[in-house]
Amino acid sequence: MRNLTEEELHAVFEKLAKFIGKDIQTLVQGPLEDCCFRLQKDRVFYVREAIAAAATSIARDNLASLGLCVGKFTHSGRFQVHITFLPYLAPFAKYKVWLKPQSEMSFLYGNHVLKSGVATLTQDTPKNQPVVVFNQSEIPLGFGVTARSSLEVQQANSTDLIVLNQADIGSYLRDEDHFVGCAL
Amino acid sequence: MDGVEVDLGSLSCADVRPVLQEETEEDLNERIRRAVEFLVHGLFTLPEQNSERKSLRELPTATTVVPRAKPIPKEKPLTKWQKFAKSRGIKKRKRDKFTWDEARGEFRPIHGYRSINDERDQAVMPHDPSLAPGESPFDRLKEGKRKRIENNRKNQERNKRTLSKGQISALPLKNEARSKYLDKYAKVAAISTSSLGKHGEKNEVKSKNSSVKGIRKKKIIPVGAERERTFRAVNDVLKNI
Repeated sequence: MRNLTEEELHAVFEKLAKFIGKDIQTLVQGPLEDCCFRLQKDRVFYVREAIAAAATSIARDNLASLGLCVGKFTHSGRFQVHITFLPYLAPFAKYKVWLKPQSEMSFLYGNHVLKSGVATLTQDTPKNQPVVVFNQSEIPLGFGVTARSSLEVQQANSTDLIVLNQADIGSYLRDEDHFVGCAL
Repeated sequence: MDGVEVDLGSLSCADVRPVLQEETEEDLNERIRRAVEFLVHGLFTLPEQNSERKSLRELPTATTVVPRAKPIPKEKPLTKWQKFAKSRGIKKRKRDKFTWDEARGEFRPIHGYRSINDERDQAVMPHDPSLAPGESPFDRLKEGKRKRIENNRKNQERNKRTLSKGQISALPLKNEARSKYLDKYAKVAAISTSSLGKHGEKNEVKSKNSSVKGIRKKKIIPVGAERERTFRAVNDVLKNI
C-alpha cells in the first residue's frame, strides 16, 4: 500500500470528474473529510485515514483490500472506475440515464442499453459521455458511456445502442469470485 | 680511518667528513674513490678461508643498522584453541607419528588412514545399547567422522575471519569502476546473437544480489502533505475542465 503519486492522482480525478464534475472536491473535503486515496496492487482505494494508518502494519502481499475500491490502473496505465465506487458517483452524477423497468434486468446482466430501454436521458448529454444509470425508482444500477448524444437519440432506431455498459451492480454476483473492496 | 667508516658485514662504506661548499664534483668523486679503496682494502685484510678458491672470505656481522622499509607486522590474533591452551597452560609436545602395533606386528600411524585405532576398520563391534533398532553402528561412525570434519572446517573458517579482521578484509576488494564496465559488457554480450537479441531465447543479465530481497521503502508521506497534494491535483483537474 502506498500513496498515489501526482500523476496517478491526476488520472483518477480526471476520470471521476467526467462522472461528477466539480463534485470531486466534496470527495476530498466534504463530509467525509478525513478520507484519502491509497494504491495497493494497482487498485486505488478510498479509505479513512485512521484505517489507512492502521493498514500500514500489514505487509503488501497480505493486504487484500481496505476501504472502498475506487478502481484500478490497467496495464497500459489508464484508470478504470469500479462498480464499488457507485455510491459516491450516483448522488453527484452530472449526466444520468433512467431505464425502463423491462430493460433493467438486461442491463444488470451486463448488456448495453438499447434505445427502447431508455426512459429518460439528461438533457444536452454529449456523445461518449460517462453517465450513471438509474432505474425508475432512482436506484443506481451502474454506469456506462453514451454512444449517442441526447439529440441523436431522438432520431435513433429503437434497436440502437445508447449506453455502453461499463459496470453494473449485477457484477457483484457475476464476478463474486474475484471481487475486491466491497465494504467501506 | 681518516673520516671513512667501513662496515664490512654489509659491504658498505661512508665518508663522514663534512662536505665543504667550495668542493667540486671531482673532489666528491675523489672522496668516493678513497672510501671504496678503504672498503676493498678492509676486505683483503680478512682471514682467508681454507678452500680451493683463494678469494673466499667470511664477512663479519654487519654493524650498520638499516631501518625497515615496511612497518613491523602486527601480531596475529590467537585462534580460539590457542587462547584456550594458553589459559589452561596446555603446551604442544612432540609425539611420534607411528607406533608399534602388537596385533599386526608392524609399525602403524597413530592417526589417520591405516591407523592402529581406526574404528572403521573393525569387522565386528560390541553392541551399543544407545543404538536405535535398525540403525547401523557403522553408519553412525561414518556420520560422526563427517560431522567432526565439518565442525573443524567451520572452526577454521571462523579463525580465518577473526584473523583477517584486523588486517585485510576477507572479502575480495570491490572495484566499482570495473564492475560497472562488467555490467555494461554483460548487457552487450546478452544481445550478441545473429539477430541482435531480437529472436530466440534471451540471455538475461542477472542482476546482482537477485536472491536477496530488497528492502521496500515505505512511501507513506505525512497526512498534511498528502492532503495538500490531493487538493492540488483536484484543483488542477478542475481548471482543465
